[in-house]
Amino acid sequence: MITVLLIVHGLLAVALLGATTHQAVSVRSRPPGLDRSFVDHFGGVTPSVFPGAIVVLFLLTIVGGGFLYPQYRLDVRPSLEEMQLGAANGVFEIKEHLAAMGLGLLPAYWYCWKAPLSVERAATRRYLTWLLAFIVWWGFLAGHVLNNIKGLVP
Amino acid sequence: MRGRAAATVFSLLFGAAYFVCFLFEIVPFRYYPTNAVFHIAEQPAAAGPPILWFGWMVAAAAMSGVVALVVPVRWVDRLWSGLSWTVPTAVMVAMLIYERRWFF
Repeated sequence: MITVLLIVHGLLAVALLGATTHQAVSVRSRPPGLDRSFVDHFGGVTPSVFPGAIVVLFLLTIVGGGFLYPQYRLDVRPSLEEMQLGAANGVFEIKEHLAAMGLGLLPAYWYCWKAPLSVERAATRRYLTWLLAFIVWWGFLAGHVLNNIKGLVP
Repeated sequence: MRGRAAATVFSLLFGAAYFVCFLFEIVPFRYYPTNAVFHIAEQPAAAGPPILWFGWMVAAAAMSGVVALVVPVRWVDRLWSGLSWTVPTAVMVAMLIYERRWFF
């Protein structure tokens, strides 16, 4: 059961990572008239269509993480301590704090992206989007490193 | 307008409230995964390791939620909208500085 939950959690995180990354790239300011690169095409999406999906995916992912956390606390963390991998524990601690802080950002993020989009809030929208993307990237990378740590550390 | 103001204040305060709860171990409850039970009071070591994360989030949500609901909209309208990302960013940086204890 825990393996199924871990896989679902990972799949939701992949979807969330894709959505936040597309949106984060799309809100960067681009000088007009230049040739469109791969990054331009990657970010050439309508950013205002993402917030609903991102909020739902973030909530589902964090709920999944909440169900997985007890297993981590009982099995993984003691193993990391036995292997004297304090940094790995630190990476997870930061992941849990960032996830919580990301949860707190969702209301402002949601309202910033709610139509009609005001021009004076464009910078706030952009930075909230980047902040959320940073949180999601940290959580994703930390989760994968910890999940595979026995294969990564000799 | 009320919803937007409340959302702004909630997001502005949540990270800071969470960080304070984490630093000072302010938790309304602890979860003990060994027996899968929640306890308001701290249990003896025999109960196994507690998880405080759920409690920190609930406490932070309660604190920032109450403030978000009572702050007048006109006060929020006077705030710079960028506070909703600058304050959480500052809190995250403070948290990262605090958590460097794991690495050095």
